[in-house]
Amino acid sequence: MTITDLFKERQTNYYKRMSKYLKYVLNDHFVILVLFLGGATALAYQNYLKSIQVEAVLPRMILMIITVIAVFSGSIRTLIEPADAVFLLPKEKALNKLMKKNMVHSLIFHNSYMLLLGGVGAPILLETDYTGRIGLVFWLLFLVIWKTIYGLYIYYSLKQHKKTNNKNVLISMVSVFLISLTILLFFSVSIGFITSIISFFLYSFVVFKSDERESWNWEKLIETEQKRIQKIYSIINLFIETPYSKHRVKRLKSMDFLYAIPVLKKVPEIYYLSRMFIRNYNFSGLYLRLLVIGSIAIYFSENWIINSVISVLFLYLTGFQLVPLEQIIKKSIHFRLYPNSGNKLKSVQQLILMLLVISSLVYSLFSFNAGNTAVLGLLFLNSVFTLFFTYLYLPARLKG
Amino acid sequence: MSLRIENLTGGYSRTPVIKDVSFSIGDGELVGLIGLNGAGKSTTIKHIIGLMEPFNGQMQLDGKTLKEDPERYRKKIGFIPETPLLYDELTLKEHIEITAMAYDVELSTAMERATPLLKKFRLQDRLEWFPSDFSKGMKQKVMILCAFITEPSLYIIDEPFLGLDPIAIRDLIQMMEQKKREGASLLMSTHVLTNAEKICDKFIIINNGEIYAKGTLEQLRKKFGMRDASLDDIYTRLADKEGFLK
Repeated sequence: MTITDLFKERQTNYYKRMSKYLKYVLNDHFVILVLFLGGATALAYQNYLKSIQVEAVLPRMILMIITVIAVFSGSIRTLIEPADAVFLLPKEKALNKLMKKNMVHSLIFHNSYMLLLGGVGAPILLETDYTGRIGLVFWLLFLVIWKTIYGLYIYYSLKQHKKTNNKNVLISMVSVFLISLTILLFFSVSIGFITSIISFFLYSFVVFKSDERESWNWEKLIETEQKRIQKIYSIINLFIETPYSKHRVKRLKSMDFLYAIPVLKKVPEIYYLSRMFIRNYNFSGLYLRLLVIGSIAIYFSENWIINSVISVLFLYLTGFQLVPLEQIIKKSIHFRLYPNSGNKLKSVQQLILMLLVISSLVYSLFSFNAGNTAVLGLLFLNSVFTLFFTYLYLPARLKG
Repeated sequence: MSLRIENLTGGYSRTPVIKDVSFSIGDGELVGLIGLNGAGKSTTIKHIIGLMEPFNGQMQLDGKTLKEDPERYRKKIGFIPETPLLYDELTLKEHIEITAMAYDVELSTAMERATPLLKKFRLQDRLEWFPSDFSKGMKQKVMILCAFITEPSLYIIDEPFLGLDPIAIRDLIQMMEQKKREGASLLMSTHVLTNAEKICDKFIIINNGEIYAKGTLEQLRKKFGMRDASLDDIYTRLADKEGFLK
């Protein structure tokens, strides 16, 4: 078996796995929710477009921020595994070709959403009377070219360089991009476009000139791929339990005061769970994201029915994502050996209850735009749901 | 009599991995569990600490079985696994805390017991670090430390020497001998026969899930008619003759 075959097989397995998970993600409830939220957003966007005044600057500023985020996100799908650093070292040269293929592959995917973003953002340029139809073509090409330059940089960064080299290339790329984007959005579309083409040739030259000489930075290759997979899993994990590979842990010393809460010091299970929850970004990150997104959605809605639906839905998603906590306790050998271990289900329940109560309070408070009665009503509804989830749904689900 | 095992048969699925194993460890006794890879050493240990349910047989620790009083049974065992098992999300200090919590040791007492060990293992400056970032040997030191601060009456140590630096090996041996003097029982599984010969009072040679021979070095020598032989000699000869190595 050649190395090409090996990676081909990995790719097949990867897509098989992803499509299996995707089936669970795109379940009926979720599709309806996405259609619903998508429709609402589209409507709001349309209204916003109508209200834009000719030659307004703010909309283009917002577009600029979104573009920056979109261009500098994502990485190359390499499908490298930790063991490769031991077994594939002698075949390093063969990786060059494979990685280039991977890069092209990833860029096709990334550029598809860049084009979508460009299409959605295009009306802003038209409404502000900034450019005509030819300008829009330049705008779309500009996005694709810069995403490609970013992809080249990622490819470059996975090879062995001095740290400063990497940093210099990144800094120069970011600054040139910001200048070129500012020119395109605020001065001249065509000049902005031309700068992007020049940059593209320059960076391609830098990257491919060094390409043949330099070997791969294995540590980074592995780390980036693991992080990428982890990110995907953390999203899928909203819907279905996925196997956890290595996760990132941060010390977060500033959060230490939280562990002083007496209930968190009673039994080993909750002692561990509370710290793990906060320090493991898989859990705390998702929790915070759901909390923020839910709060914002509720804040902007003045309709109490929509608020209630969003609130309960987000509480459900939050709770659902915390269910694997029990698995972690169950799988750990420590909690089977400890003489003084508490009730595993109860510990998980306590933690989930605490977290859901916090979410309930926050969501209720953020619904003040719908009036005081709505706040109280939502508080009641959220409490009922939280109790239902923790004491009826959770035990039943863990049993099954 | 601290640990007494009678006719223990057990394994993962229906086919037994260990068959009819009986032995005992007295107070103040250090017993070496010897056998090739896959002989059944770790499975035996897993049964003793109660991670697996035996098909058959009796295990008593200070006269009590696991079923009779699981909490008391578990409190009496300090286990150091072959590969360090640590919490990714807890610092070294929190590992000590959670151990104290689980074994009902006062936190101040646990820290008191831990301090000299931390110093010995040169870990005293790393209390706020995550042990999961440590090297293999340092992780192993954390496991040793967490087992020793509970002051159990039975220490079960699975392959303790791998990954430890020579000084740590010397320190660990000293610590084990200290515990022996204090009356604790120790069961150690290892492949490092020279170390085992130096410190163990008795040996259990296990092969293919069964006890092949047990006793002191003197008894083993006599049994196999090999005067002045080292444990290494006896074991290799035995393995050759009996076809362990086939």
